[in-house]
Amino acid sequence: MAIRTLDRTLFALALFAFMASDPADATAQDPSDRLRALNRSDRVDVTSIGRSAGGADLLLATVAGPGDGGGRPAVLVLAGEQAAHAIGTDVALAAIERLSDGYGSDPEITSLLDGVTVHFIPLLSPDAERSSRQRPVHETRRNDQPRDDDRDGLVDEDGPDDLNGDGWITMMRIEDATGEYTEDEDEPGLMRIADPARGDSPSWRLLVEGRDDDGDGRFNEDPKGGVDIGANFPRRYPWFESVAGDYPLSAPEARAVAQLLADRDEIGMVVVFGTRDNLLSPWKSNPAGEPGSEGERVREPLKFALAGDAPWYAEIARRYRERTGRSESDTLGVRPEGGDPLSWAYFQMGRWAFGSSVWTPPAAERPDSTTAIPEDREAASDSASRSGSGDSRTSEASDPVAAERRRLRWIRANRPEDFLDWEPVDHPDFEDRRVEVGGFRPLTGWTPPATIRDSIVRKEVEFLIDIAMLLPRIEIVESKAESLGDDTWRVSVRIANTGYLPTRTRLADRLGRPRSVRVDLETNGQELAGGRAVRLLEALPGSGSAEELTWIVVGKGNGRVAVSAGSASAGRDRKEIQLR
Amino acid sequence: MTSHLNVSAAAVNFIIGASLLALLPTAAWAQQSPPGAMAGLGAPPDPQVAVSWDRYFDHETLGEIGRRLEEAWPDRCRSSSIGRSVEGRDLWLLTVTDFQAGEADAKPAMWIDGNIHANEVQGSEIALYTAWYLCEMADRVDWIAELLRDRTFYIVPSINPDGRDNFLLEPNTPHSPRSGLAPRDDDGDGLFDEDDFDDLNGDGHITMMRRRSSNGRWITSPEDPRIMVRAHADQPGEWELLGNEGFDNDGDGRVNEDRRGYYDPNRNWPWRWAPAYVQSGSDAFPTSLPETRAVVEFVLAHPNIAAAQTYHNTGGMILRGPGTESDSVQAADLRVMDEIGERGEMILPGYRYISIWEDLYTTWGNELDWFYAGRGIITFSNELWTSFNYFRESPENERWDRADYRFDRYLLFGEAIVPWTPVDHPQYGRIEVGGVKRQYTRAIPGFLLREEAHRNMAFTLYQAGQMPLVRVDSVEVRSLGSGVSEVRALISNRKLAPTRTEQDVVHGISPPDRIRIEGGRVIAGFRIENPLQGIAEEQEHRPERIEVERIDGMGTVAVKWLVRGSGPFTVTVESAKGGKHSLRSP
Repeated sequence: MAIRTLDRTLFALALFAFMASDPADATAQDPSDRLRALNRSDRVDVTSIGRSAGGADLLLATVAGPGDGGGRPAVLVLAGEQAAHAIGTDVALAAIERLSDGYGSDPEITSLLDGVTVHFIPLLSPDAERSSRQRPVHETRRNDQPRDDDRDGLVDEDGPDDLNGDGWITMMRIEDATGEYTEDEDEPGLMRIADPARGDSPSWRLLVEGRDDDGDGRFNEDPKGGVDIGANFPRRYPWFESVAGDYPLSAPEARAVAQLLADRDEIGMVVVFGTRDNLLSPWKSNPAGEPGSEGERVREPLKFALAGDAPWYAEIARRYRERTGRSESDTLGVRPEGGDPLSWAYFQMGRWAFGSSVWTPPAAERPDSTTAIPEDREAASDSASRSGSGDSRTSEASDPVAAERRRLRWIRANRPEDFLDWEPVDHPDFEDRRVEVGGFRPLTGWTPPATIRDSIVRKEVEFLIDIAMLLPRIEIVESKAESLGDDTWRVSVRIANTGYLPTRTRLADRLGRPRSVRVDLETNGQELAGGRAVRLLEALPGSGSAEELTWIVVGKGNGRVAVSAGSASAGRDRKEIQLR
Repeated sequence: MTSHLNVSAAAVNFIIGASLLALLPTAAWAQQSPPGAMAGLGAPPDPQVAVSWDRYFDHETLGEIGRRLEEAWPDRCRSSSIGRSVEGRDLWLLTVTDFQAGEADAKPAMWIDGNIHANEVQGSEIALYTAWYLCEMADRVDWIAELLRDRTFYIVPSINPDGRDNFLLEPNTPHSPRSGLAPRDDDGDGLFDEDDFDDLNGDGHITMMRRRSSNGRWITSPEDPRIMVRAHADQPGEWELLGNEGFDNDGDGRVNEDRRGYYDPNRNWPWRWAPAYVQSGSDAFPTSLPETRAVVEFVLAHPNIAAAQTYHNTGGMILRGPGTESDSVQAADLRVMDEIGERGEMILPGYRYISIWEDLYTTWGNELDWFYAGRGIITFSNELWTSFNYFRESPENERWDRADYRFDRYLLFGEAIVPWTPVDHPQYGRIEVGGVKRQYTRAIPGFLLREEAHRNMAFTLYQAGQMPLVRVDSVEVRSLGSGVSEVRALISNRKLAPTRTEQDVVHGISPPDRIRIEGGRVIAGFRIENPLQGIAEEQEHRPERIEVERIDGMGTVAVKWLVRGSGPFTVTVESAKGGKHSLRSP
């Protein structure tokens, strides 16, 4: 057991020298402690923005250059929505360290942090993470909210059990001709739903490892805890799925994030290191045409990005793949949208939102076909989610267990200890049947090999720094007052977005949040005879795109006017203009 | 927030009855019938708590009336709070039931709220009237005593108390505010609520502004000089209409564009919530408002709620879901809603039973849809008051017929309309203000309020009476020899609504109904599929507690057990929304 946990511990050790080295000491791995340790830097401020259902602090780390009073454009980084994606938390923590260490020594980072603040919530589900450090190790996505999943009046009374005492909760299969499963012929160990039309004989029931603790004939149907934070956000919320909670944002963890983003207009970009991904395969606009053309209301919540935003998503995804060497085929294994914070941040909150899955088991060369969905609902949704948004152009599309197959092949070739071969156990509920326990080792599905882990984390961190530098930047690039005689002037400015990204998404233009660029003409005793004193601008594309504004003022006043322009998320500029 | 004392003081000017009510000691509330009088039916002759049902109560007074009811009827009414509003006002809850007969939270319950839209005030009075009537009449009317014995009412008169007090106590139009009072930057300029209405003539009402101008397109109506009508296309006008009373407070060239609030609390609910680019006013995320969230959490904590009513105004409608075209109501549930809704059209003349998106307009994230689709609760939303009531007829083209102005002239003698009066406007110069007072067109004239309250209450009581109610009708024991008995039980629900709606069953919202046996060791338990032919299906696990998906409206379920022992046996049926009942075998 100690050996099996060792590899993950070693990865962490390689990066965080301050960590305790005893793998048996579970608290040494607590990411919250690692985060608190980073609080020592002047550039990092760690605060709690709420508590999990289990009472753990939800920590927000803010990395900023000196003198930020909260007014700078900002990026919000989210990670750790489920325990198995510890790699996302590692990336977030490494990024905090890289930014805080680099300030003052690395000119690029210094310049970034003098203009942009980066907020991190490295651990969205501290409860799930804490549960994953308990024995036996169980890959849970749930926070500690007690929940009567099977509505029998008892709470959390039938969770999985470690039948073979190996310290892991895996799967169990029961020999049973009335079961639905068969073992795949090409990939030994892989279970899939039998297809009698193809001559498959069903021979197994497949369930999560455990007993029927409450004697209701169902297995592990009411495990400890409640809500998957990664399924509790409001976009495409999976209603009535047990782990999704009773309603969107019912979990305090998800709600704290929603409130933070609603309150902070300066956050123009959200980056999620998690189980969803829009960098391998970016969001596209609707091929059937843009809904709600000019001024018209959109009639249904959007499923596609707006055509005005899609090119930026495409280009940033291209840069991501170029930097990391990952490809669109790596989306196999990415969890589909639904209650996720990533698509919510764009489609409901109007922010630029980028999500990286960091690592998924890479493709083998040999494509194949064929199937596994366990009868247990939660395991089923895990399994289904991992087979995810498979690319329909690949030949894996027709294989319902394509993701598991790819993962198992990769494991057999690279890290065989991550699949526990089926071994017989005595099961009290199936005394006269053959029962075997085995399957994927928990918490390994998103964990890259030790040899490349540091370089993967580094690339993700560098990518994060890259895109943080792409935020829009409002500048008044030209300003003048042209005398029309008789104490009358035409004041004009050219306002440019010298950053890369547009000042806000086109979706934000329709949503009204985050706020648009506001332009004010400040007069000093002059009469404004033409133009508006306050103007709000629609999204201004980046890379120097500009808009020209003019006003007519009459009377000399104190001899000057000023123009200020900007927004919380795109920065501000101000120019004084002499009337001569 | 306004202090307790300020609210009461302001209320004195507006609601004389309310201030008296707050001053009198409890004992003085008990009224005596005058000698020689005959009590009218449908009204408590000697109410313990005297309330004038011809006026609108501010938040403080609503709470006070609730506390008086609790004092007067401690076994029928309890007053508490389910949470607080943005400005810290309590969301008063009145729990009305027979507290001597069973546990309130275990009986099938009906939820009633009102006033989610701040200006739609009378839902609160109607909800409160319901609590009052139930308390005051249970001793006189057997049907009400039975209702309170078997059912519980959770009544929250106002789920938008901040907006309510603003509507009642500040200058407003009949339509403002709809929102609650959490500050929002409506015009996106970085400032919050900086350009609200302004009561230019200081009369406590926000009416319309007009300016005399030969270039205007409006003329005075020949029918009633208070009404403005459009000039014919080929005729010159005399007036410009300039919108609601107010000026450009923030100097951005726009008038009244960032008022207090502004969002729509009835678009903030979790079911099919949609962002502002689809549904304006939905706010940043579902349940972002503390008032919404308090109701959601209360309903989740009270799975016995089987029916709901959320009062709005106006237009005389009994609304059902869904709010959006791409959503649907389960067919079996629609049949139940249709039965209740059609009965409602009889109880409420002038009201139409209709669906929200199909017959009214599309709404995403409304309260009713969450109650039904999210929780499987049969829910209606009554749009209180209808122009039908002006002259008890449906004018063919009432909008231009101006029945409201005629009603004002002949029944209210001009009280409802502010006549055009000149004022100086800082930006528009010399103008006139005038028009409909906020008490009119949506709120109900005082002399009609009580009838509207009673009829709407009667509709909700019909619905409450038709909530499921489970009974063990019979327990029969037959000896099979060898010390084994066969116990058969018949369970019924003699009400219109099933114990679980189709929406509930399909999505597994409530637990199944359960039928337990005590009195012997259970060998096997069965659901009897066909009582006539005796076809039975075994429930292998936990046979002593048979589960059934639901008991249909006006339906029965038969079960049997093989039990070691000869009895007597006690059979108990438990249903989350249908109550609990036991019967012992002879």
